[in-house]
Amino acid sequence: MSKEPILFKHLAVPDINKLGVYVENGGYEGLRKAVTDMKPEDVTKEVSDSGLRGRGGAGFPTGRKWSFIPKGVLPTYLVVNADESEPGAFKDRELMERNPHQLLEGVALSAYAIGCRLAFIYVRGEFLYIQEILDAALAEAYAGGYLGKNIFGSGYDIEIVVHRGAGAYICGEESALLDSLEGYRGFPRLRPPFPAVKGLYGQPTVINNVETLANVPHIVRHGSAWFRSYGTEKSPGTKICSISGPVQKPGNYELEMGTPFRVLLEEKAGGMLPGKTLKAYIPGGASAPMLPNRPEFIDVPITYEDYPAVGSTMGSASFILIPEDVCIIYAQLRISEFFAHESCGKCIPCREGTPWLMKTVRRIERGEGREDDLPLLLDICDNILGRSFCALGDFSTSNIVASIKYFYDEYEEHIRRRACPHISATAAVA
Amino acid sequence: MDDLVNITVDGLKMQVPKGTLLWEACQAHGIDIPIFCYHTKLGPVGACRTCLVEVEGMTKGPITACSTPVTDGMVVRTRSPIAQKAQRGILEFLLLNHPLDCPICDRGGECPLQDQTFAYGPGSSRYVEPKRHHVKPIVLGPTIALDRERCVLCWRCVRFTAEIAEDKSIVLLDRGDHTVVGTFQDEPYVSNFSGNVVELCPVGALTARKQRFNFRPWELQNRPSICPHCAFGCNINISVRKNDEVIRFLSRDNPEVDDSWLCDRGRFDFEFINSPQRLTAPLVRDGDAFLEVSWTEAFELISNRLRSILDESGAHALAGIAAARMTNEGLHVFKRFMRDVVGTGLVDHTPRPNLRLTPGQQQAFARLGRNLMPIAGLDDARTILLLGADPSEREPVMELRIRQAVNRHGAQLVIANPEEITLSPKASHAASYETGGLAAFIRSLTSALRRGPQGSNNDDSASALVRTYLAEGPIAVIYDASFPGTLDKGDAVLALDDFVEALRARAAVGTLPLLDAANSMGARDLDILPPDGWSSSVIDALLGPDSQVRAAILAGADLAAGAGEETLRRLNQLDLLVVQELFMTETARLADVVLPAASFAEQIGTFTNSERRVQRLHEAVPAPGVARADWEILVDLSQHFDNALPYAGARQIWDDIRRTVPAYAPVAFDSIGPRGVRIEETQVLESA
Ligand SMILES: Cc1cc2nc3c(=O)[nH]c(=O)nc-3n(C[C@H](O)[C@H](O)[C@H](O)COP(=O)(O)O)c2cc1C
Ligand code: SF4
Ligand code: SF4
Ligand code: FES
Repeated sequence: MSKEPILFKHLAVPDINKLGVYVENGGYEGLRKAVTDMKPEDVTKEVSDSGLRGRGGAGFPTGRKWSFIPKGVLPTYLVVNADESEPGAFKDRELMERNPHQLLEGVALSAYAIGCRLAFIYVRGEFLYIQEILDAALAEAYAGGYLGKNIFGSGYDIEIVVHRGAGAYICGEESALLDSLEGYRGFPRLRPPFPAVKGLYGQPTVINNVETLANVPHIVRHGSAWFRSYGTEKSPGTKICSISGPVQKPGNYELEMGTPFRVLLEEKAGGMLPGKTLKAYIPGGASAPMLPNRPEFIDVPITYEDYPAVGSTMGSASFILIPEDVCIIYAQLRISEFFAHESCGKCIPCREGTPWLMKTVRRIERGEGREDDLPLLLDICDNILGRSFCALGDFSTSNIVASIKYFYDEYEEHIRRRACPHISATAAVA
Repeated sequence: MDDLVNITVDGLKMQVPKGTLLWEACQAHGIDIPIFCYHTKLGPVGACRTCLVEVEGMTKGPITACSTPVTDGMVVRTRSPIAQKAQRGILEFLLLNHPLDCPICDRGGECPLQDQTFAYGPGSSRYVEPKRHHVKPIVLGPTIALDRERCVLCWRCVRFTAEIAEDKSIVLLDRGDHTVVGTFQDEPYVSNFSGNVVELCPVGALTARKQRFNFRPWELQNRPSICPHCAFGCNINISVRKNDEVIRFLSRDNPEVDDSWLCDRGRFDFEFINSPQRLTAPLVRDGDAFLEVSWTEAFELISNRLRSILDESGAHALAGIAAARMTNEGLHVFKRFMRDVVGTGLVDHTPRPNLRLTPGQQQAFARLGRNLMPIAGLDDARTILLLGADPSEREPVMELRIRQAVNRHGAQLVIANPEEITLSPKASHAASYETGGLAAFIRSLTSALRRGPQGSNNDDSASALVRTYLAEGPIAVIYDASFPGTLDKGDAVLALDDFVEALRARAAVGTLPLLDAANSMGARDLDILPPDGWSSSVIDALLGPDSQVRAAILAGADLAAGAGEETLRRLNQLDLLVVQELFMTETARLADVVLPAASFAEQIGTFTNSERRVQRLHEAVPAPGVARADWEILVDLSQHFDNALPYAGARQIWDDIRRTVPAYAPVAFDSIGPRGVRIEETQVLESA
């Protein structure tokens, strides 16, 4: 990245996870400025002006989301979505693990903006060690007076509670997350009412992704114009991209929005491992449609707007690479298994449809495919997409449709030959 | 009107109140949209997606009609290719793993899944994978069995237990397509309202263990009636097979009363009607045994013996007690028989509050009985005050109405009771007093009220209660007219009446009594009481040590049941004991003549419930043998006396009731529709 990174700027600073080091590097400056100098609406306005969009996948404008909170209905809550369960996504983990205070400062700032005095960070069930890191950082910040009662003598109190889920992809869906946080089984809730009106414990609530909120201290400190100097008109700022698969250097990279995927793949991740060629990649975790290795798909700028233009979505920018020697049907099976396993069971199309998709793909993969299986798969997707209660159902269809679209021949060959042509390669990956 | 919006559905333009759910709007205009998870009484959950329809301008595909409020200018297509494809798709999903065991399913024939599949579903399935299997059936609790293979996971049972009965006992377990209905840690599902989930279940997944495999729905005919088990008066349908066998009771939605719920006592306690033990013919005593006789023989025997007793000892030698579960028509004829045919005023009803009131207390009691509020008015109450009353025990469905008033309409529940009751956890405030201390407790409230706004600033608990909960109306005061646990019931009556008067000076107040039997209110209104009203009991006159009574007619009054030796001895001593009954009860065993009576399901007539709503009974099944309605028995018996009663039918008796009881005067028999007619307060006041 030509410009200085925003979120990963201090990644290399030793002990940046310690309060003292964080403060030395300008940490909590934004928070001090806001609570002593700015009205809550000023913070919201700055964030609105910055054009920051939700990094949890949907890209909803963050400032606008905050402005939906009705005035005078108290208490309000801020909930941080740190469930990060999308296959291929591991960016929030690194943000929290390496620089916890950056998130905490962002949480306190955002809470201030919406008049919230008790915020929750909902981390996924497997993130026990992350919870420990956050709790340690919180303890330091409370002790240092950066969080807690009357911070910076402003009269503003903010308490942050870290809560660990029990391990379910659906609990990353914001309303199911609220159910889970309240102690119930995580089921998505009927909308309206929207969380901004009736969310956690029936109170106005904002739910934001970890990366979204980690940007806020920087926006408040340096201003919205500065933030807009990064990225594109519609996608200002940077994006942490997770890249996994047979590349030289898999991992997280912070890129300016608009950087082509080719830069991520070839420069940042160092290209494919020797002997591996790219067959297809998924740009936004298991729920985003895969794209085959064609120049027009490799040169896509990483933004909210450019991926939809080529029939996919950036989502959480979790890039999963599928090499030539992996059977697409096998890769699809893994994805379909994931959705069938994670469907919450609330609505019929997803509950019944995802296992049906999985079983059908599995039959094809095992060489028991039938001639009409491909139209069947597409029609099942048609009956799920836009019919299910929440987006999980929709997500389950995107790669079936894309893999059949781009790799029809591979499916056909499985069905015709009654076997997987990749049998040995599949075994090697599995 | 500005709160109406215009929408177009399938080309039909309609005006509906803003905010109405699209499904309800369509339903009201005769447009059917398939549903499973939605239920008018439970509200939307949006889980099943069966109700998908096309809306012009939709961006994310078809929308669920059950959870979408109408907006002005909405253009909806429920049968367009897009809508039909969506509906077919969902029904195909629903049937993937369905066992299709319709031929042995209790629901087959009245199953929404069958009906909707027929109307909206695909003709065949494309599913070639093995179906999901579950152990079946599972015993969910003492009353309910569950077939998980048939379940469509509509959440209705779960929501009923979570939101209506609030025992939260039925839950969903596991995730995705492993999701099943069950109970937390497999604890048995025990509830006073369990039967409702059977009716709510849109498939044959939940069945009543008592009724499984007992019938096929198409053999049944549903006939409207009223539950005979308590004074709340829930509306029911009696499902009848081959015109003579009662198979089950179903709820029959009356939003004014039951709002479509029944308690398990009401729903499941019907087998007595079909019982082979029912009395089918008149019996007369022959030594230790009974002989079957004709009605004429029985009537001649009774009239001869009765006449000679009356000739020898006068009218006060005869007493009559009627069951408060008899119809208004039965009770009225009973009273007229006693008063006008044989000339005795010694009548009473049972069960009844065991009150011995002074004249002043009687007036107070009458006043209390006048200020009744409608049951549905609980929804408008700001505070619901239960004074020594436990609706869950006495009129169980009232418990659900109270929960609804609290949950949906924001009423505050205040409970005063010496003990914890079922509703206690629901209370905003629970006050306790020592057993027997109801009157003193009420008086403490009254004096706090009378101290006025300043005086109630005191920090004693009564003042705090008055300040917090009784400052504003409407206030619903629910009391138990039997004053259980109170020794000086007359004193409690005075205290309560005084309290209500004091409250009325401040706020709108309505009262509801908890009563003993299905037609207790009718028995009170028709004055089936001794000449001095509530100050004595004919039961005492009949059974007391120096009783003058030599003959008794007991209509459904089983005085001997569980009674002591003295009572049995007294009943045995009577020169003539005539019993009208359904069964050979302990009292009937002591009788000289036993007359077989029709049950509530076997006659035309009316009940008056505890909010003073008159509701109709119909003849759902014929009475066994030659049994007949209580009033018919007495009318026929009267033919053997000088002043024969002229009635030929229930309607005629009703008209006579209207002439006798002014409050009932405005209510024509034919005006009593499926929801009954509530007799308003003012009319009762006029009659007072
Ligand atoms: C099935 C499903 C899973 C999701 N998982 C996550 C997640 O793990 N983390 C996340 O931030 N958002 C997740 N989301 C998106 C959230 O619902 C929500 O849009 C997001 O937290 C909003 O935050 P943002 O506006 O800051 O992006 C998920 C959505 C769905 C439908
Ligand atoms: S689409 Fe339906 S079943 Fe799937 S996760 Fe969402 S609510 Fe649950
Ligand atoms: S058991 Fe019946 S009511 Fe309960 S979820 Fe299943 S289908 Fe619905
Ligand atoms: S009836 Fe509308 S979603 Fe179930």
